[in-house]
Amino acid sequence: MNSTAIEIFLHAVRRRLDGGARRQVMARVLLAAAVTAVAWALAWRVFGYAAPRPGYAVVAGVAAVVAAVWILLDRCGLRYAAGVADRIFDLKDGLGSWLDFQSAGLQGEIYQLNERYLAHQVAGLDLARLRIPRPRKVFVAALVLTISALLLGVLPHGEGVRNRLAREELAAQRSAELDQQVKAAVEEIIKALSEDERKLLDPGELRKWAKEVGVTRDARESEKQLARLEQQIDKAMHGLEARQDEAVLKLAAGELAKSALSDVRQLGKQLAARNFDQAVRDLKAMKPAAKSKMTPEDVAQLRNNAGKSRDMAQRMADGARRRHFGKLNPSNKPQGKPGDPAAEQPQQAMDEMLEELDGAARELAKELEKPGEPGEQTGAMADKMDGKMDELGKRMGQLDARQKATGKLDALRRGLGEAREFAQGKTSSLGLARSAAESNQPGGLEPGKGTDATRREERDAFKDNGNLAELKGRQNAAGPSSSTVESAASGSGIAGRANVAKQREFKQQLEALVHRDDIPESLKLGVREYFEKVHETDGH
Amino acid sequence: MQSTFESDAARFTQTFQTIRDEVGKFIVGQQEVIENVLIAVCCGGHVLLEGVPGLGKTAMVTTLAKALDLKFGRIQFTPDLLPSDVVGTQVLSERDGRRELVFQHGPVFCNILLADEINRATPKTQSALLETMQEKRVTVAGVSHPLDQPFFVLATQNPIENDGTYPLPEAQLDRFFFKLQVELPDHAEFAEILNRTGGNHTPVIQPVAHGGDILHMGRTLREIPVAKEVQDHLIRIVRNTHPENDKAPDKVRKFVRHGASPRAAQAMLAAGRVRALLDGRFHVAREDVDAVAAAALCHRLILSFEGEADGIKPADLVRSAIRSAY
Repeated sequence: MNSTAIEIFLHAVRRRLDGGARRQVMARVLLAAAVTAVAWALAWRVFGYAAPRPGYAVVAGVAAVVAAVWILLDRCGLRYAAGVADRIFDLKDGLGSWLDFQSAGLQGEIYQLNERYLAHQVAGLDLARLRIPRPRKVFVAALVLTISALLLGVLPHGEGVRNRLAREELAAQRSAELDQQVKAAVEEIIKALSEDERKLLDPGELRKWAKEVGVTRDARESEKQLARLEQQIDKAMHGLEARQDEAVLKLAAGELAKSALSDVRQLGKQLAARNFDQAVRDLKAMKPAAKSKMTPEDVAQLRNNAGKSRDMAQRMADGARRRHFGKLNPSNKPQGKPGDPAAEQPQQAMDEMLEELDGAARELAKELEKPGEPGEQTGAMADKMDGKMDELGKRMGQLDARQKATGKLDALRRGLGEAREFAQGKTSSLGLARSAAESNQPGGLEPGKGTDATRREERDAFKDNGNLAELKGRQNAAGPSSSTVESAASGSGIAGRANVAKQREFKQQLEALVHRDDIPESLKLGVREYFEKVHETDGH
Repeated sequence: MQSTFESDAARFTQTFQTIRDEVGKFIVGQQEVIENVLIAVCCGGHVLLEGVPGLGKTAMVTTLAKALDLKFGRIQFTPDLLPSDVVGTQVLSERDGRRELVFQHGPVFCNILLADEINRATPKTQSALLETMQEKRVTVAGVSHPLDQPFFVLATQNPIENDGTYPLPEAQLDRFFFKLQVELPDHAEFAEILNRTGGNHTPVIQPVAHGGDILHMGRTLREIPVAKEVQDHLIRIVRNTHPENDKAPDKVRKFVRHGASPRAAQAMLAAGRVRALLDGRFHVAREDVDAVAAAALCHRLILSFEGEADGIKPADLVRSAIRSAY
């Protein structure tokens, strides 16, 4: 009975102490959280940013967890409560001793007496005497700091940060558009690739390049991505080059141009113009096709084509020989570079091919010079000649494919130049996909789209024809700018090339006039003052 | 209905207060000293009273003896006092025609012994009291003679007249339960002393208790339980008087050569129990222990040379030891 009363009292004391401890802990944690939040918000403000709202939630969450753990760990025990109650209620170690006797299991008359005496004592005690300090000042300070932190959180970003974020946003938008257009341009190129071109340009590789261009908020990174893509394209274009073949064909074209035969000259023209597609067709037309049973017209056609092909082969071989004139090893084969699609399968050198073609043509011509109707031997030789010409045509077709693939890549690369300007913010529109698509067109813009009309205007000395730099800037934005006000007696006040030259001429004349001795001093003075004023204006 | 112990406790308190009131009839003021003397008596301890002459030390002891209705003995210690003058000696006696050595009891064979100016006797004579105080018996010529119970030695000494005195040895000091300082009374007390002793009628002290009461009080107080926490506190205080203890205060380490003995702890515990009973409690509190610490410990501290030279008061050291014990 007595022990129950004492226990009830002791637990009440402990609850009261725990309540006070909870208040203390909450006040301290709140203060710490508020100080943290203020410091955190201030740090953001110092760098010009508005404090991010989720940060407050994080601070509040951490504070709640810390407070909960602290309160849990800081719960006072019964012995502590007994010590405090003994001190506050002047129980003279009564509760502490009672707890000690209880825990030791001591029983007897004296202990019961002690318990009764203690129960009687605690029965008359008012727990309100156990004053638990209320940390009002700490709470007020924490409240003030919390409000300050929240106020700091509502402030918007600083002007510099706003501008930077706007720039980043713009860069991100541009980067997204770039990403989209690069991918579209690549898809456009892939779509337009012929079978031959697909052998040279792997679509998967092209898509991989496009994939490396991602969306970024950093304009520099965007530029770097484009630069990397450009490097890839350059490398690929370099791999597509077949300079030796083209050089041989160019020399051959020179020789073909000297031919008396118009078809041969026409072939030479196509080769010189690097129009390999047409050249293949012309070459095909000159093939001395032999049939098993030939009519006299067929024989005449055979002889005619054999003559053309003989002339063509000889001239092309001569041209090829000219290339190696004076060289020790005329049959130098082109050395492919690693990664070069053309170098994957070793090819016969163009000059060798032309030599063989020349040989076959000579044999066929010799055979045709023999009297009588062309026989099987002639047909075999004509077939051989056809085969050699097919090989040459195929090689030219490859060159055509290379050229077209290079052209497509080049169009994409040129588009990337524009894209870089777009990424830098120098231009506001981007037509990467369009330019890639245009590369597949024979020429001109898409139907219904013309060039800018202003570019068709005739030159005007006073308008400077596009040489006038027009600076545009945002109001109150930082950045270099220059503006010049030209004073003039008449006109628009805009200095163009012509009127600057005129002014310079006029100035020289007048300065020469000023130095003349026969001019009165008063007149000179007037002229001098005029130019001084002009210079002053320039100076400002 | 009161339990046995409750009635014993009530009787203890009542007897204690009655004795105190009776002594207070003659002794003006000195309430704390009287109470502490009575506490020591209840615990069966001896008391050393220190004070300048004329403060009523001897009067207090004689008054207490009268109030307790106990056999009182007094020895005025002088340099030529011999141990046999204290404990007694064998004398040749003729009985029935036969001569034999018979032990003649000394003045220690009493219940309350007043050892007045104890420090004036030689160490040899002082040491004669050692067995008496601790064992409560006298051994002469190989024969032990027990003393009557209860037995208390209430000694006095003068702290200022040092010429021709012999400081009590440590072993002797340790046997005193308390050493109490008898201070000069204040103005009002002075006036009351004059009023009580200046006329023809002096207060008559009546015996209000006897030896059996004192012994019963001693048994009663030993029933009072002590919580481990309080006991630990007591032990910490005593240990803190030792300079070699790590937790001893700096003052103790610097100025104390030797700290208090376990006998001091026993004295503090017993005295604390008395205070608890007097306060109506049935457990000892730390404040009971603290209250008696100075009386029980001061005379047991042996100061170092620095302590002696700096005039350090043992009471200050005891206070530091108490503070360090919390």
